[in-house]
Order: sequence, then C-alpha cells, then structure tokens
Amino acid sequence: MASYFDDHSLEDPYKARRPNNNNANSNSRFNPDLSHFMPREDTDETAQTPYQMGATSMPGEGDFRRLAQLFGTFRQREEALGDEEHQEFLDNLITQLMDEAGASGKHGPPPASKSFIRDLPFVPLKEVKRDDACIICNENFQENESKAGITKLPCKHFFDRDCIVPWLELHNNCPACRAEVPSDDPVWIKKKRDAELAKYAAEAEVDEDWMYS
Amino acid sequence: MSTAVHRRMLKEYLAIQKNSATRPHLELLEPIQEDDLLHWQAILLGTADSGYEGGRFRLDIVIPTSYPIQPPTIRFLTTICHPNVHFKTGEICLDILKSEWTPSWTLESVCVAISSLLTNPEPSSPLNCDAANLLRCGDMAGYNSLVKMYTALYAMDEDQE
Ligand SMILES: [Zn+2]
Ligand SMILES: [Zn+2]
Repeated sequence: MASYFDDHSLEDPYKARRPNNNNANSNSRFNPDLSHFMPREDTDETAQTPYQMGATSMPGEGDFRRLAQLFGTFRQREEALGDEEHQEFLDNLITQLMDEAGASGKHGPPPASKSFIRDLPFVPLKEVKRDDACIICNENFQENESKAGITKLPCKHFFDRDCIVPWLELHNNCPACRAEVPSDDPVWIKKKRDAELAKYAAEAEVDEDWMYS
Repeated sequence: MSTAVHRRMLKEYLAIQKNSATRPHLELLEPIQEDDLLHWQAILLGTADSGYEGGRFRLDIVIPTSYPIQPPTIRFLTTICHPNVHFKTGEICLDILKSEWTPSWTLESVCVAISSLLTNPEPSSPLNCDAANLLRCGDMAGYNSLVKMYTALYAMDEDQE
C-alpha cells in the first residue's frame, strides 16, 4: 500500500532519520559535549520569551571561537610542562571547535545561481495536472491563478514562481526531490569540479586497465 | 493578515485533524491557542520496545514567519535522556531540522521523524555524551537502564505542566 508520503511524493520520515552530521567526518577521538560549559552570549534567562529560547539555545560561531582560544591558552601552558598526550588532546579539541565555528554558520546547500533563477521557465497552466499542488504552499495550481505564474525545475517538479524563488535564493536544490541546480557559490563550484575530475581520472584508469590486460 | 505561512499552517492543521487516527506514537499535535497557528505543542509516546515505554514527551514547536522556506524550531519540554537531545535545553540534533530541511516536510512528518529518532539514536553526533558513550561502547544494558530511569523520573507524571 502506498503511504501518505508516497501519495504526496514526499520523503518518508521513517526512512530519513539521520541526525545532523556536522562533525561526522572529523575522526577525532574526543567528542566533548560542549554545551555543558559553553559560554553564552545572553545569560539573562528571565528576559527571554518562549519564542527566543529555541534560537538562543544554539551555540553560535563566536561561542566556538572563544572556547577554541581559551583552550589555545591552556595548550601553551601545557607545552611548557611537556605533557605530550595532553597537548594532543587539546590540539584535537581546538581543531574540532574551529570546525564547528565554520559549520555553524552554514545551513544546508548554497543559493541557486542568479542566472538560473532569472531564467526559470514560464509554464502554461494546461501543462500541470488537474490536482497537482505546489508542495511549498500546498495550494492547487488550478485554483491559484492570481500568482506570478508556474515554473518547473530541470527535474520536472512544478512550483509557483512566488514559492520557489525564495527557496532557490537560499538553496540550490529541488524541495521535492533534492535534485541539484547550478550555484554561484565558489565552494560548491570547486566541489563539483573536483568530483568531475575524480570521475574523469577513474574512467581514465579503467581505460588503462583495459589497454594492458 | 492572511499571509502564505498562515494559509499553509491552516492547511496542515486541517490535514492533521483528519489523519489523527494514523499516528500511534503522537498523542497530540495542535496549536497551543486556536488563534495562533505559529506556536504548537506535541506529545510523543515512548514506544513499547524501548526504554521510553510509558513516557509522554512534550515538544514545543515554533513556526518562523518564513516557514516552510525555513524549518520550525522544535525542542523537548520534557527532560529526556537521548544521545541526540540536549539534556538541559531539549535541543534536538536532527539533520532535517537543520541542513537537510526542505519545504516538503510538514509538522506531522517532522514529529514522526523525531519519534523515530527516539528508537534509532545516532551516537556519532551527540548532544548528550553520557548516553552516546554507552551506545558507542555497546553497553545496551547500561544505556537502556539510564533511559528507563530518566523516563520514570521526568516523563511519567500525570500532570506535566
Ligand atoms: Zn506554491
Ligand atoms: Zn525535483
């Protein structure tokens, strides 16, 4: 039987239980629970409304930096005492904190490229099925003609232009299937190019194997 | 003020009311006040096969005005012992609430994902190191008894307000 999530072509949350893996690839032996001794920017808890609590409970980039500097000072003191194991511990801790400082400012994929957003196609209403809805506003395309029109991404998913543009200004993927679209982000471009080079190199290796076998 | 976020939340609200029978581990998911669709609460029920059995875990859900372009902010109000939940603040470490968020998620599917996280913890990205370390050492007996103890201590009161 098709589930609710299949019917709506959504990701099934039962299959998508991956916690945030910001530090999954830092293979450090030490993984301290920083939050217990995290210095807070705002310690006046009485002034917080419930709305702000969620937002301020996340340690920010500055928190990690300050903590890294603090341990840096400890490390210099340890160096004088010559305790190598302890120094290594502090080195790992500092590296991890700096990683966190870099990662905590980023939330998901980079913005789609300006030219991609500018050149989004206009899709005539007759091209979408009668009960198709835009998954961002949940509104049926046919009943919602007043908007700036309908568009589609290269993966063939349809959206109201008004709905998809704010998303693409933040992230370069399709909200329905996560298919990537171009980005101007230099880190993304480099990663993409490296992946292509790696693929090219792997293919060249296969050719070589074939030639000499 | 009938903005996009209010229209979408109203749609979600109606769908949630219609589907209420299909969510065994979600006792409640509703706006705290009928006239404010940007602040919700939920109660997750601990599953029978886990140390959370018998526990009722209350969630606080705040919808940003940029929703669903931005994810909701969700935290546990009930103290819970879990590798991916901060013991004191209730903050949840789950990728779909942060970097992997997309507007195709709904409050309902997100709550189901959090419920699923309870029985499928991810010790490699911990917010609670004591719990994560027990799991990483493979000390399931120690882990389960710790979870059970905190569930009995914080999540089984008749009145949790
Ligand atoms: Zn829309
Ligand atoms: Zn798509």
